[in-house]
Amino acid sequence: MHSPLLWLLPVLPLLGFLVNGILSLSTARTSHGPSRGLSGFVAVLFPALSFGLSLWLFQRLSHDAASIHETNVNLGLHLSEVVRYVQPLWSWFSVGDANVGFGFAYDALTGIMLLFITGIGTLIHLYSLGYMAHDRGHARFLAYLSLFLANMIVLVLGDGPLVTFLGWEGVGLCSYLLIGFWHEDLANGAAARKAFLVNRVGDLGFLLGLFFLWQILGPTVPFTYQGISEWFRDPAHLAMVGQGSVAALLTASTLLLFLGCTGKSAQIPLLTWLPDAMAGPTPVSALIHAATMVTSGVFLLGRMSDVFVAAPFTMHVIAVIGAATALWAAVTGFVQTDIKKVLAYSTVSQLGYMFLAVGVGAFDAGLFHVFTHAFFKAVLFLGAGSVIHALGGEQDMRRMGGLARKLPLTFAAMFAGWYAITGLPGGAGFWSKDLILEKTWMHGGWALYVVAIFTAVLTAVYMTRLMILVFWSPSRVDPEVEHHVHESPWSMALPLVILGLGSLGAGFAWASLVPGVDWFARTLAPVVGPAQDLLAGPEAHHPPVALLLALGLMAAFGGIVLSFVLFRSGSYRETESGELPFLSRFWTLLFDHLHAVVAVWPVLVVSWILDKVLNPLLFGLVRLVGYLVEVFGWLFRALQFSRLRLNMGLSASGALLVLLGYILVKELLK
Amino acid sequence: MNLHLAVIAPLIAALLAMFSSGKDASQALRNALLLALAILGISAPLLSGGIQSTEPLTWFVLPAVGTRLRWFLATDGLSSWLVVLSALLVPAALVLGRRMAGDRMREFASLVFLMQAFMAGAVLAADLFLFYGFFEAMLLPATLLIALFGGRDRRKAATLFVVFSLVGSVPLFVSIWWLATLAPYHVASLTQSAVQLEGTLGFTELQALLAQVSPAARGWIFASFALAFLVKLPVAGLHVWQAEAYAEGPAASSALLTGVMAKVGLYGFLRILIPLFPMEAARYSGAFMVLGVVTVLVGAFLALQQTEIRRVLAFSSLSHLGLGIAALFTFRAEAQAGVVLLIVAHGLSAATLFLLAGVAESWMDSTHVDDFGALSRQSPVFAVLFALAALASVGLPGTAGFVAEFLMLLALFKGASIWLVALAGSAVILSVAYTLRLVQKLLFGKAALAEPAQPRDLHLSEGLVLAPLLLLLVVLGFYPAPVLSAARSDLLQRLPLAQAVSEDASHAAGR
Repeated sequence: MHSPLLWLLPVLPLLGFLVNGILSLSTARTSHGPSRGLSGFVAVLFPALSFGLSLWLFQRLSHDAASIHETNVNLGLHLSEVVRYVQPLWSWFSVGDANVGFGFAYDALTGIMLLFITGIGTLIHLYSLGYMAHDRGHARFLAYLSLFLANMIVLVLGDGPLVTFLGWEGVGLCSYLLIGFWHEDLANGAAARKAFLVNRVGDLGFLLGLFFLWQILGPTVPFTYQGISEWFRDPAHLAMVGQGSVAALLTASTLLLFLGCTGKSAQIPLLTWLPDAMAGPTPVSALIHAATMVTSGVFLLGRMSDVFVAAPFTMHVIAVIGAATALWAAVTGFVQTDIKKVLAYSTVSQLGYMFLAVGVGAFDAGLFHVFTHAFFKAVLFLGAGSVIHALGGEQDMRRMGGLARKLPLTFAAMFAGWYAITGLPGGAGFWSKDLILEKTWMHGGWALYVVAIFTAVLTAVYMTRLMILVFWSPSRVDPEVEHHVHESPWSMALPLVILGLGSLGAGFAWASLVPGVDWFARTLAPVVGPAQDLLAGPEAHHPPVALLLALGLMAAFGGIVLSFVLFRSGSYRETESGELPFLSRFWTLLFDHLHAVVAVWPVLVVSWILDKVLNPLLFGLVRLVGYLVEVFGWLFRALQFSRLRLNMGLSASGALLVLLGYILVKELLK
Repeated sequence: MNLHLAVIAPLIAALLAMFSSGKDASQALRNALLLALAILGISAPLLSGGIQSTEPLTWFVLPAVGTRLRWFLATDGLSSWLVVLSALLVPAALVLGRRMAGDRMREFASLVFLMQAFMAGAVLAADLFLFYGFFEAMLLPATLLIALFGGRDRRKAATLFVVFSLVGSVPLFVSIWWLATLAPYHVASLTQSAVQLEGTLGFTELQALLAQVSPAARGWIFASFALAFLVKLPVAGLHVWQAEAYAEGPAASSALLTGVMAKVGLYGFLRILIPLFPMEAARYSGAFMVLGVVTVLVGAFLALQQTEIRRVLAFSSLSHLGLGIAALFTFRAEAQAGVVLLIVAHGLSAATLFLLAGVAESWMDSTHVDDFGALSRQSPVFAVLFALAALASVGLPGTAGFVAEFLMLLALFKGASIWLVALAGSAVILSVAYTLRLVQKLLFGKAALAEPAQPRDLHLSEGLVLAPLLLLLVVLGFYPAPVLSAARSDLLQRLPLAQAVSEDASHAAGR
């Protein structure tokens, strides 16, 4: 179906970006910057409009889907037809075999992504008004944030991989700008650059993967998601890509596309940038580096589920990488002292869960975790931001403690987030994580399941540790700072409350234990269903639900108890300030070391050799030739420049001009 | 008529700028700017004119040989875009060159116009002799700009530039002369109807002529043509002059050198070398692709090591244009379109970066990156423009550079091998590394030198001449059709020939 309104979705926040950008630039010379009220109003208004539009579109989509479903049932058909609104805009480029259009498409997957992207995006714009109120560059900050939102919308709304790639690189750029927002500190700049560079490695993978995919499809298939899906859903084509050289091409293509996902979603091996990205202001960490951008990898896999299920080896790699990342990051989160770093590694770990789910063929479960994670991780980050704000910029948990009473609202919100992420009954994480564990048990084998459940224990341990150190332990806050501790303004409190409620309730979008509460799965079924059915086949046996549930709950409770035992009693080793112990540091920077050895040093060595050896050598050669050419000394003397020479040169050209003029006149008179 | 004017108007402008009255530099700039805008107005209609040419006018007949030297201009989408590109860059070069020219603005403007005229002539010439004349003539104003308005080592840079250019163009001249001596005999003997073409070196006639030459001789002529264009571009190994000329010359001339003159090198491949020597081009295509990718890598690696702003930019240009050569020799439609778009996109973004670098250098009175910092706070407009141009130069999607790079990599993927693509692609990653390092050093961090009492930023006029260039980059990033269609309608008529030959060769190899 055609929908003429889709373009408005990204353009609205883009307008917000332009207005705030111009405001910021035009008042750059004043000491105070643009009016807080005006820039704040603009910054919240446009994303909110975009959110309203997504709500309306989603409601319409559900309505249309329901009516189509009804028609099918009446006709006795068991089809789950994709309802898709499309808006092709123009031909981007059309050369040779490369025929790419620029357009948008909206289906259930896009709809769900857009709901929380624009919804949480609006809330975080609101939160930023309070958080950045005292910053001179607040208008610039809000402008970047809106630009990010516009790009993120393009990413999920694109009707083909290349439009997605436009948004994909766009969010990377905004991430770069926002990580390095406080750019007077060069360390922030370095973190920003690292994020951009590491992502570019993944992006090259993305592009090469697309090239391979294109080669499989051939030039006649339109290079849109719809075209790709339909091609892969054709049984004849599926048989073709299952064997021989085409299978190899497809494996290469999907592995490369997945490399792109590991860059954007911070998975092994390209995960080093996300912890460093915490250098950015906390609203950025909440929106970009927890709720939205970093989940684009999972989104892309869901979007191309039909392609990925045809490459079983790649699926296996995705599951293993997901599990390994989840485990590694959970262990790393365990030894951090910076509150935002704990949350960053926690994000990496949770993203690992999502990839694990996708890898075992449960695209909907992975995307459901994207959805619930967006709520509880956003609230955890915003809560952490509120703590940092209250403590005047302190991020080290060794200098926190006892804040539950001083910041009751923040505490309540973070408690909700903690409740959700540890997997306590009824919280958002309980539903989504349990689902992933169940699917892993069924399709992934026991090894992956053991890793996943162990990671769940670790998650409970490090998150409880965070809560203990920040809220429940005796205060270790500097008395001077403690004096000024205050609860945040309403603009920050409101998003905390909404997202806190969300992290308790979002799980009921798909409460798999309660029959009939599966709105999320039903909505996504037309998009990822065919791929999942292909992989899973008919459900032969039912999983031991009760056992898995018990195991999951034991993991959560066990982790919490363990954490209390470890950190509640006795002395706090964390009170010692200073660097992490050697082993912890090595573990944390494991992949940074790997990058250094594999990529950074070789590049530096080669470029040093080229600059210091090859270039002088060439120069020497030229000089040698130069001496030989001395024979033609006249040539060089002719180059003794002076005013005289200039005049002579000009006279010569003047003569030429006269000549040309003569010809021109001759032609004109003809 | 427009075609004549595209070449002659800048020449007239050069004269007018030189002899305009008044010592006042800003008066001279105003006059020059007016002229430059008039030329832009004259050139712009070429874009919508499609393929057109002038009547060939015979200048004189070479005695004893009988070959005619003609004034013969023709244009199609590619040539038109190159002419318009230089017409767009010249106003910017004039306005931002004001900072370096000082009170010698008249001479400066005059030389810039002269360069513009010769560049327009080179890409519009439809006669090989005429092309050669303009191709060589470009050297004169370019060298003078470097030698008169350059930095500390300007003599050395100018000398290197001249020596390298001559190394490239002397063999070219010998080849053309040799062809000229052959022309009457061969063309006359081809067909009856060739009488009217007798003794000319127009491109269409040359194709027929070259088909008659012995393969060995043709190989040598091919090599001499290739060398001349490779020096102008340049490629790795022949790049020694480039960083010197770009860093020591005035920023405005660096902008024109990389923005247009280097493109004449690519133009030479696209318009002259491959169409005239399809067989040789196909035979050595592998070597050229490797040379191109090596250039991409060498440029990127060297850019990482540089500590002067314009040296980073120079090697960045080396790297980006190297990809053009590699892609071109796949003879694929995507490659041609990509290269034409690269010519426009890189011309706009690199020239903007060079011009802005010149401004920053004049503020800090230094060329070393470590002496800069915090310009985003002191000079926000400058910072926004610089950052935009930098992003365009690394080929961020949404700018024209992305589509160009995408098409060229795709062509390499289809026409060469995945490994070449991976190597060239890794240089794309490195380009982010060195470009962002530059952005960081200039715009962010703390000011390295004492901050000025008065914050300083671009003048309004400077912003106004640069902003359209960046806007065009964004527009073409989303809607590149106007440039791509230039590649499609005109170039492909000639290039399938080379492609067919290369496919034959690969079939033969396969068997």
